[in-house]
Amino acid sequence: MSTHILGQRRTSWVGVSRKRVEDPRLLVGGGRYTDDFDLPGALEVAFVRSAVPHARITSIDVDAAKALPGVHAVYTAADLDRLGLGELACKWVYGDQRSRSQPVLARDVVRFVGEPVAAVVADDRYIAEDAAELVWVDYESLEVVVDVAAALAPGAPVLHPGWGDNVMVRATFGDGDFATAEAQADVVLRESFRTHRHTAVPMEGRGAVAMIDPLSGALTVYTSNQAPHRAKTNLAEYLNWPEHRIRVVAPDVGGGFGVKDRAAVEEVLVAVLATQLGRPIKWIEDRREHFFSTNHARQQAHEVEVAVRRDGRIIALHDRFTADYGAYASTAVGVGPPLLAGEMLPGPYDIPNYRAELEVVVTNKVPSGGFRGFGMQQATFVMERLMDRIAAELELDPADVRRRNFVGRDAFPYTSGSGARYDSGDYEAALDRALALADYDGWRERQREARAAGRLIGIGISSLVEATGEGPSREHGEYGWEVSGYENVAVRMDPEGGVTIVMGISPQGQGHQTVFAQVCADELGIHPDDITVVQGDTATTPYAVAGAIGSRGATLGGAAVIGASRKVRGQLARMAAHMLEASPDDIELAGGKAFVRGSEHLGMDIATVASAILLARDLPEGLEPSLDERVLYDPTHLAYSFGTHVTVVEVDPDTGRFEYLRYVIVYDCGRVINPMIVEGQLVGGLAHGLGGAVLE
Amino acid sequence: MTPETSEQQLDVTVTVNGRQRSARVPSRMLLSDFLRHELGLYGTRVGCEHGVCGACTVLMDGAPARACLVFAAQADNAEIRTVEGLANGADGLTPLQAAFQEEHALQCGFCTPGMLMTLTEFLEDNPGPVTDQEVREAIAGNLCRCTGYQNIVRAVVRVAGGRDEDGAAR
Repeated sequence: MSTHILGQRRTSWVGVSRKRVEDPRLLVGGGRYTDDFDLPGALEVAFVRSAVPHARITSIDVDAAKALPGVHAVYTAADLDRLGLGELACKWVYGDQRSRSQPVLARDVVRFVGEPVAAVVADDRYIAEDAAELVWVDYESLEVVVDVAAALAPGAPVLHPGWGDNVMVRATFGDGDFATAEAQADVVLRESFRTHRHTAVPMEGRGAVAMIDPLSGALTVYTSNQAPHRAKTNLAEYLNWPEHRIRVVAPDVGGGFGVKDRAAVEEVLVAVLATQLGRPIKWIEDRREHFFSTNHARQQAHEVEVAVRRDGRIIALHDRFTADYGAYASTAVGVGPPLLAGEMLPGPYDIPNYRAELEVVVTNKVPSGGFRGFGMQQATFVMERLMDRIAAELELDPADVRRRNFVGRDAFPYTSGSGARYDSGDYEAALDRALALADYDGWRERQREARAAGRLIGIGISSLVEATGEGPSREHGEYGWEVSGYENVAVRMDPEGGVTIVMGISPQGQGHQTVFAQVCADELGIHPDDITVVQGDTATTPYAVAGAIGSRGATLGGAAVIGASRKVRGQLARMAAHMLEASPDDIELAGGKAFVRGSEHLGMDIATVASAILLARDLPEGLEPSLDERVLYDPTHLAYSFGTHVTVVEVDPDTGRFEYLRYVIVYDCGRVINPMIVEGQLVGGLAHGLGGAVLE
Repeated sequence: MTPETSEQQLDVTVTVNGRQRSARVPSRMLLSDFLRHELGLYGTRVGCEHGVCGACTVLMDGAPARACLVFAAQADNAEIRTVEGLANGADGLTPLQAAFQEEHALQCGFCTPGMLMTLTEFLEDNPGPVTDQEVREAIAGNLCRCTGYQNIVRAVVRVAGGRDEDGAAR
């Protein structure tokens, strides 16, 4: 990791596959996830959930449940009414979107299998589940809306009184004129594409442990969550509890992938119970309830028409699509995913006339929300299938069709047909590299031979653009998302020259504690082993609510770490200059030392400089004795990464069993901090995609 | 966690990681809950309570067992090894654990203890080099939602001394 450049030693940790500092503890069973917190006197919650998809609740009898020894309370919507608590507000309301809240406990109607109806609090989960079985709910079945067609059919039952119909919201993207372009096309294709309902299923489900801290009096909630600061704000708002007396801690989190991005209805109820019962309250979902309560995602249907020239160039694209969204919109991200799908449909292509119309539809299913990719899988799937359909129709090579439609490498910054502003990209280079690595020409030859012999080999190409670094706070206001997009980081050096970084964002396996130390180490000229990254606890970390979503950790968290580190560096340079009687501009920090450029042997330990600042005995004029610097980084625009996947698959014509003969990913994600971790993320994401493709 | 019910209580004596533990447990208490909440050995994870995901895998009398499908009472007189019993104490990580770190075979870490227990028994039963396919079959009952498995396979092949499908050494 050390290179000599012109006689000076420079050490760089960015770009190094540093082994993860998180691993030793996790490998010996030392991980501490939400269920591992056993607080003295804690009670456990089991939910009574609807077993029917659509029904009116005519009565709830909790007497038998309450009478069971070991049961402390059974809550229904009536109890929430009594406490003056209402529904949980949706924090992303787009336009005139009609789903603006979700019941914490169902009151009069249940709208999906799994909807919480009552919460039993008992000495332990075993008794709580026994008691949950004793809660008798009388349901009067209502007609069920199973899909978009049923929801939009004339005379369909209206799931939400007052809506008039089952459309949650409509949106349009682009203003392409398909009709005019259609007349000029050589070919017009009309295709239907469907993406199925899919969800994240992290290995650790959701959960929360809430209590009133005996020392501080703060409502303290340990929860498996991607955004603890956001959960804190959600809880303060719902409970009407002063936010400065709430602490949320995300301990080790066993995967998030977009479904743990807020305090959802169960988490807020756990907090309510803790404040009401005066005991720590624990709720850990089991896998079965996870499947019908943690948000679903991705279910869309696209009706696409595309006008194409004979050489494969698209001159217009029109998409009418629907999202089967379930009974409510995610209280965290509303209808964000289908909105992003409409915005990103053009992908890496220059589509002269793009227009899409979206209807988000309610159905009697689990509410939808985010899941890794957040709408971009649907967009990529539709566009890439369309490219292949065009190629098949025109008897062109699918790679050539893509090339003919790519945004050119000299066209950046580029505004897509939907108005998205791409900052940079070279889509053709990624495609060419992927095809070369996959030996595309060789496989086309082998494919021909195989087909002649009765074997089925397919070659798939998928080029994509990914919006990352979510996102500019002021833009969130434009589409109704009540969340800021900045990252907030403080870098603090101690008298020993060691560093603590505190960050608003927190991890669920991405290796933050390893990579952010690498970034800081380069800025301060110290070793990453001398840097500790602290995350997850709202009491000790600076406020940033977006959390680990939208591929923003390395981009925005990293930028904030750099900014704060540079401020500390400035302080050290000024002090070292004072101590070495030099100009701050001539000070270098490297290898744990501060020295005048060219005179490394006359330098001093950074620790010596740090200690001198913090002792504050002999400071240069105007220098504050501070090595505690904070940066709040709010991006001005999104960052668009891109790439191409190429795969070769053989399918057995008799059994349908398939095998991947080759899989290549070429991806430009910008400057790689830790190659090993980036590869891990790409392969893990691929597993989600492949799993989805074959219904897991 | 002692409920005031009429539920049957049973005395169990079980050796966990070489240490004998005795307790009085409700008849239906799962081994996973016993290990985690009664003995404070939280390394054994619970991912599904269906026996599908493998996160709760422990070694019971030498064989992999789903702690979520075993009652604590069934473990009476059994020898249990959990992830906490693998490492060499002050010496650090076992070769398998070190290989996991070398190859980036864990991200969130939730499936990792179950993987390690399954693989510990696999390696003990299969000394010497192993192929990718053999490792994939060995972990077929352990789900991971983060890594995509590729690095887990690499770690095991590496620690066992890998050979490719033709038997040649790696």
